[in-house]
Amino acid sequence: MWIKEDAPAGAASSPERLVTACQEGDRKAQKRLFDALAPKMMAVCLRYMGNREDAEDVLQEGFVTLFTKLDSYQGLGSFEGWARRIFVNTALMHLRRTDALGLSDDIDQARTLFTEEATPVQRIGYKELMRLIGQLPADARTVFNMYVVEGYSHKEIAKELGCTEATSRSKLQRARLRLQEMIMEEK
Amino acid sequence: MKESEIDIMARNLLQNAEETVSPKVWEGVSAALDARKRVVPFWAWALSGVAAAAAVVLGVFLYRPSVSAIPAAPLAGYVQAASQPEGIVPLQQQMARSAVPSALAMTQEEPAPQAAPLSTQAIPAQPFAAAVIPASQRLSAPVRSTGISAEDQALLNRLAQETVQQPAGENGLSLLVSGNFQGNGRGNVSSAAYHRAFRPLSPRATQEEGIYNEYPEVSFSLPVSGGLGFLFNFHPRWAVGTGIRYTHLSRTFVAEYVDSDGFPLGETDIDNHQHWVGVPLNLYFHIVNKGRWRIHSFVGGAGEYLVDNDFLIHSSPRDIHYHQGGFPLQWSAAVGLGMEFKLTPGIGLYLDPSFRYYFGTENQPRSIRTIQPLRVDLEAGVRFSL
Repeated sequence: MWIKEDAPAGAASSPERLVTACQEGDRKAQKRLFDALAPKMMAVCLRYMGNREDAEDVLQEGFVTLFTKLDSYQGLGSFEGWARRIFVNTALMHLRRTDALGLSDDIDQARTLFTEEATPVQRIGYKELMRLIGQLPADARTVFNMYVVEGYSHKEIAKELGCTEATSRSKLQRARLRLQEMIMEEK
Repeated sequence: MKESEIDIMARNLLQNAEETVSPKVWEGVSAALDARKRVVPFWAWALSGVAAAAAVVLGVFLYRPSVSAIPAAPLAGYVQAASQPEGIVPLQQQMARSAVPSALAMTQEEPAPQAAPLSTQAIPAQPFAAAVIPASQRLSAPVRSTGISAEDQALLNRLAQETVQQPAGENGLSLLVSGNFQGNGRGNVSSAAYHRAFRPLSPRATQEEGIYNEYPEVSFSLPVSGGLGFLFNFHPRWAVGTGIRYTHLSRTFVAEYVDSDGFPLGETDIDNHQHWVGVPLNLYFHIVNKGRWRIHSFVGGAGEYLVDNDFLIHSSPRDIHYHQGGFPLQWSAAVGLGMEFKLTPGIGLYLDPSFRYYFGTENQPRSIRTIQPLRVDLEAGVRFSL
């Protein structure tokens, strides 16, 4: 549960009540929700943006959007999943604004890449992996995050990013290969 | 595609990862939420508009033409009551007919040479022009009860001219250079308000170029206008104004865009800029005109044409512009109360707050007007006498 059980007496004690209090503009409730969600969402933002400064900007904008969009949360499905989507979308908007997503690969190149087999990699830690992901080109990093971690399909990625499914596959494969190379170089 | 070892490793490490968060982020979120709260709510604009409208109504109904409050005494000697000969019109009536009742007031200091009985009919008021007539120019001889002297007639003629030829800036043609501002409500409109205002949003069913599946959340910027106009004073208290006015409306929202090739660009940021050109027509009534200040009320309307409805779709590798057209004229009606401060007799600064209602917004492109057709408008400008 993303709401800590040691909430002070009188404070909203369930996710539903906390969300309701936030919808009513209760600043203390909003701070509690922020404290509960921010560390995970910061990790999401950092994965997409690749550096802390941009990730904090996205995190801040994402929370403002989340608090103003709370009315549209219908209580269906996981609140955290709903919130995560807001932060992913906010990160994508930032990347689009900065023209970081150059999604124009041709399909032939993508087909070539699909045939390459990934070789086994040694296991590495979280911080090391985050650092390496941050070194990926923004377009490949975005597709890798969306497909591998968030679980989007290539069709959904193509729709979100305005590219073809083939381009999405190509970028994913590039990201995997580059990560693999970097991990091998590190070890 | 077979799931790679790197995918599994990344998912396990990243999916539930947490990072430390700088306190600056919450401070930023909190400040942004506070800033949104400080946007002047629509009810505040509405309340000020109601106050303005009430003042307009009071101004119109409390104003009495200047022929209703003159003291009765000076009339003695000028009005022959029931015994007047047929065919001779009393001065009081002549003045009322010629709308130049000023001369009556000038006789207040004069003795009544013929103590004729007071008229029992309604007494004309002290005219506003009386105050500007020096005592030396007032009637020097009493009016005989049988008619108007030649001297009085000359004076009446001169007063009539003075009434029409007001000081510069009071009458005639003026040039107006103006800017208009309207509130943007909450700036951001809730999904509930949005759905109330708009038709239900259906999923995209065609591949035609266009904007589809708009998110309910939308952020409006302040509508801004600028224009040039003319004000024609056809009467000391009445004027008519018209001109040309440009208005810029904009909003930011998230939606799906399908390009001219039928290729969909999923959920993306879109800025909508609307460029309107309109012609307002207003009727002004000057309630107070004292010293450097003038207070007026006005009613009017405007017709506006949407010259360009430009959507800027933020996309990679470059932004896309999409234009819509073919919308009907936008009609609106306004009522307001304004004031003017005269810097010189020929130049005045004015401020005209008003209530403006936009008709037929369901046939217009989405904007703050389609969500809140009743708007509070603030026009500020400079008037130059020509």
